Amino acid sequence: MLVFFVRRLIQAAVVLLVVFTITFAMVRLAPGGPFAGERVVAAEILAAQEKAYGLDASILSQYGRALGLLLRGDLGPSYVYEGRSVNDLIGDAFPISLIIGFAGFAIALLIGLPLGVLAAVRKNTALDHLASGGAMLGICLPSFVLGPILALIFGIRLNWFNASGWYDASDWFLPALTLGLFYAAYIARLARAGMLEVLSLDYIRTARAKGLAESVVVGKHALRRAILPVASFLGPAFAGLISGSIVIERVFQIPGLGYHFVGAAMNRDYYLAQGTVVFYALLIVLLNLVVDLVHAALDPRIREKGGLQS
Amino acid sequence: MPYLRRAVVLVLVAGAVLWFDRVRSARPSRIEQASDQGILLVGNGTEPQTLDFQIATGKPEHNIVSALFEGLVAEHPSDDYANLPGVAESWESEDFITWTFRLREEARWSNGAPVTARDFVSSYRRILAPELGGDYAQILYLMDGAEAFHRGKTEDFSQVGVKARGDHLLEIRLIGPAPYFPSLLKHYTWYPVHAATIAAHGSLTDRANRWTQPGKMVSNGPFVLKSWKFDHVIEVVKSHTYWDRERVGLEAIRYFPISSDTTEERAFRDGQLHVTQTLPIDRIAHYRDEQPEVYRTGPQLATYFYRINLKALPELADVRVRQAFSLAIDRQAIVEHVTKGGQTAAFGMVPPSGNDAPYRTPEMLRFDPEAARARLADAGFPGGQGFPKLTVLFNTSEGHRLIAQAIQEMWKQQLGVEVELLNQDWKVYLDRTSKGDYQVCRAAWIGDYMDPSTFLNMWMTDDGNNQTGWSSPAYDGLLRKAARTADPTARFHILEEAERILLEELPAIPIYWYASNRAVSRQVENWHHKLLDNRPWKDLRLKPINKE
Repeated sequence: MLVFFVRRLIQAAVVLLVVFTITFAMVRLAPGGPFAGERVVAAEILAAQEKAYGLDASILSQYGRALGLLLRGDLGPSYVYEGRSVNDLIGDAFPISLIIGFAGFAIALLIGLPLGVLAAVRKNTALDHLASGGAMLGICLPSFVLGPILALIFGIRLNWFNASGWYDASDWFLPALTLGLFYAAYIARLARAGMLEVLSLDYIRTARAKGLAESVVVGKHALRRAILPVASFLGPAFAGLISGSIVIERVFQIPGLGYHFVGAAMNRDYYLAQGTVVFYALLIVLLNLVVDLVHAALDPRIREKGGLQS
Repeated sequence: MPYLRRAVVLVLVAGAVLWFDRVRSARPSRIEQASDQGILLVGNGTEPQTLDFQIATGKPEHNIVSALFEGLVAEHPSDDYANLPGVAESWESEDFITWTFRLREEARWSNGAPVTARDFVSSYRRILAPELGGDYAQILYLMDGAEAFHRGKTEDFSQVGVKARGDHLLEIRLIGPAPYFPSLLKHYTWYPVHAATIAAHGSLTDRANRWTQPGKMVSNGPFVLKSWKFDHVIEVVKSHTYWDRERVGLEAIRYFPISSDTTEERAFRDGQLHVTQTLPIDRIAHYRDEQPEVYRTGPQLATYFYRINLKALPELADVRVRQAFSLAIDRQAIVEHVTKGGQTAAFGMVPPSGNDAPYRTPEMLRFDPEAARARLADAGFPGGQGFPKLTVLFNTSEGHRLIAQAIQEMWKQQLGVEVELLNQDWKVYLDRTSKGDYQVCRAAWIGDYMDPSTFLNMWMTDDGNNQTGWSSPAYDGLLRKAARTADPTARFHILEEAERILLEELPAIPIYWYASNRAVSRQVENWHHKLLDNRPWKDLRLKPINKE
């Protein structure tokens, strides 16, 4: 187990270095720099701006500098938001995205999992069609459509929540619901497919033959295996959820992390762009590790092989 | 029995929903609460990049900075031309070259220190320091010696035409007569900074100096910075040291960076904002017809135009071709059916600034397909035959695309010229236009001050914003002559003559003049439409809702 853990950590470091290097190269290869604006400034002034942030140095020494900072846990300064560091920006935004992502994740599981299981157990009944149809709709309805609809109904018409903004303790709800419904749809489909497959297996027939109650067969024996595909999906999905979504953030005006991913690249805010990508990569790597551990806990076959390789 | 259980659950759920609805839906709106406390809630576009206005460039930054700081001359609530006394209680100049400003003795910084003439000198020294790299410092180039200092030609600031003659007397010497100089001083680049505060938090010329953070910033305007929550809200509160604090009608202003216009409009409907920054195009008709009491619209001092790169193709260097392109554009159709936000079809480059404006934009642009075809035939391309396929470059945006498609269609229909559209992300677009790597591109210019030179100077031969390769010695000569002319009427005539050359030669084809559209709640008093959209925040008032 320890060997496995250490090996994965080394892998993670390599992945992060590669991601960092590629991002570093990509943002700098893109035409236009952070200080280009509609109004052209004199070449001397542009040079002064670039010098102030060390952009006059060679690309290799810039890389060395950025890597040195990264190793010390410093993601560098933002070029666009003067006087703010990337650590500050991510530090401010991430907790908010984490709250919304976590709530969205919970909503997705609470809605998606029972719906999927129910649809599988009551296969080809009206309930199944309703659940599957609803899941399909959830996947097809993009969040920039669903978000405003929820805001109009629950924000403006019913006045239960603020239509947008990050003022009150309840402001996480509508964005989390918008995020959650989308993922719930996926989870429902995965859970249904997984459940259907498992229900036809021999050990379920055995369980039924033993005379176990259907609720125990489904809830205890079948579910554990049926949610394996869901669990694999949940790792990356969770990383996606907690790293924010630019669409949700703009629809609900939330100061989360999602905007930085897009905004930094558009603004050529070099350090912010590479910082957010490295941060996201770190999340993915960590969560995949968690998924592997959860898999091992759920599936005795993986545990017995002792390999834990995925 | 199971039915009974289900019924009980159903009743409980329905009861919970009703209870929730009762509790939640009766909440007072945010503007109700804020109006009672004298707090104005403003939609402010995007998150400000900085509040250090000496390196700022954008409108969102300007809106906040103009509440925090005050220059020598102040804005009038409704009249763009009026120049009210700010930190300077009076000013005079005999030749419009050397100006003397008498600063009011009661002007104070938020730390209680008096605002002195030396503060202005050190402020201008900082914004012009080449190491700071102030994007907008060019606006100070009118001051004698400013350009040389800013571009590093001299390190001796005493060569720059700004002097403190005592604590409360400031003298500014210009490169030539500028009767409009006081109006230029309303631009934020001319505001003072408290140099000692900046120095206390790092280097004076470090762009990343954190002096603009709440608790650190020292300012001299009607409001002081209270809090800055990134991408959420910036709050400024009434200053207790401001000289004219009796007149400040608001207790606080909260600026919300809401970059999506549809989200902003929903926030307004939800009672979260008193004032929006803009309105989504598809909601304008609703506000105009259904809620005229909150709908505010009016012209802006800004021009939307197409640049033509004279160096890209020999055909584009032919003035007749450019004239044909301009004559073939039905600008009225574009503002009525494409932009639909109250814009005006442009008949010149300088947007008109009111009926009694001192400058008259020559009315030279028109839609005349016959003449357009004739002009193109003159140039050797009858019916567009033999004319190369053109590429129109624009930065990615739905609005720009629709306009480009309309123009593509007009040029094809009227002139038989094939046009290809190319959209690029903003920074790529900037990179290409600044390098002259385009044939025709969309562009826009927003006026900085109330004078036609803000739209005309950029077309001089060596101006970095020309970017068309167009060069006219006659045009350059007229603008230089205008810069030496003290008499306002004579000067405007010279500028008009220059604009005529520009509109005859058309290195850029003006399409339309901008308009602003916004919703302003009925609680807000003294909010007037302004061409530059700069307002003195101290004059605004809020009516408490319950007293309506």
